[in-house]
Amino acid sequence: MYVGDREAAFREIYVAHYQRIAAYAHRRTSQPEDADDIVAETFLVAWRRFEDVPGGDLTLPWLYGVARRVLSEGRRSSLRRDRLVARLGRLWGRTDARMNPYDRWDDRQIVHQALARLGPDDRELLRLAEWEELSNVQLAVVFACSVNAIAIRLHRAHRRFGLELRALDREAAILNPNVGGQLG
Amino acid sequence: MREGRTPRERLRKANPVDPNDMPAPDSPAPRALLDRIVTSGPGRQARGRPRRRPYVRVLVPVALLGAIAAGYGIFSEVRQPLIGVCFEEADVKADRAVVSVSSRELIKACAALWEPGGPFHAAGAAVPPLTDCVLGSGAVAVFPVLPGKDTCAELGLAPPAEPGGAGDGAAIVQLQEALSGRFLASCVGEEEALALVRQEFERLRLADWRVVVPRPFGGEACASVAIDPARRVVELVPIPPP
Repeated sequence: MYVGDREAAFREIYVAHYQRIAAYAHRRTSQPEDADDIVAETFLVAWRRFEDVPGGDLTLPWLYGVARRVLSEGRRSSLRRDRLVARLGRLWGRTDARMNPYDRWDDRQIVHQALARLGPDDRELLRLAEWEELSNVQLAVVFACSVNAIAIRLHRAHRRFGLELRALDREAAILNPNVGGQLG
Repeated sequence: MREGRTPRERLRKANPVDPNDMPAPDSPAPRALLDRIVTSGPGRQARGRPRRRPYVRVLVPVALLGAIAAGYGIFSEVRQPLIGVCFEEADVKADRAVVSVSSRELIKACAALWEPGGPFHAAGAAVPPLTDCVLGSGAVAVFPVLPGKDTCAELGLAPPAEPGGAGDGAAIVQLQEALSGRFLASCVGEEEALALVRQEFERLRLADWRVVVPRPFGGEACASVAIDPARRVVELVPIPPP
């Protein structure tokens, strides 16, 4: 492949998927700088390993897979920093939704709390399926398993999520009757 | 409200970020990133061996700014949070990455860069033996060991925490170790923090260093510290009690 072809093809991929990868990173980080870092690192990996990037519908899940690894590597070192930021935020009277998820019992926060109660794989699977709207074939690329296995895992993850959501609806209804949880 | 909506519908509705809210790929910042990537040279296949410099040109500023902005962003005077530099080769001009950990964990953090998925990883290659040295700036850097040689000496750098002291570089590392360990372990008040810092200055013979306390500090606040080697200052940073 000529360098010019390679660059042109990479630019196409970048333009096609930049916003999706940026959204993925922003959904999973609390700091915009961290999200920018993940986006940059993900596309750098794609550029360096361009010959490994699959084409067609599999490009995006491949990029998600890279972003997921980048995120997990960066997460450990950011934990201490996040704790410090949280403490600084409290000192200076700042409000930050990620530190105070229950200041309002709206549905979005209940859903996010239900997600937080799941295991990391269930959580990531559901987010990729419902927020990134990946198909089972694409999810199989991200998780490096068969499509059948993905279908089973997704079904179970949805079931566990539904149970957690129902439990939280009850808690919300008790703690804040105005919210009117979906009991039943 | 939630009546009649399935968990799946609620989950979809709770999506916190719409891709359409992200900057368009042809807007200035994404375009600048793309240009930096493609002008940094071709990747592994085209050049026959991994090229790491793209990481240096893009990630070092991003990681450094991110660490500074996110870790201590509200204190504009602070210049050196707890960061270190990992070099891919035993050469101060080699490709590098900045990580934000205490120097105690720095070698471990750098080793992770050689593992699969890391920017220094090469297929079939194991994590090389690593050693830490002190850069002229006072920051701690990690290099692959030069077999049979004193890596830091070969690079003209001081080893950290050398017995008897090796100038300010090693002393700064010891200062950072001592203060971060003490201040991260428990809540230290202003007066105690001042005494501790001055005690460390004396122990490490950092005679011309000073400690700065921002006013108002806050009577209930605990102290954290930021070290500024360029100004030879340790600044107490007020943080709330745990």
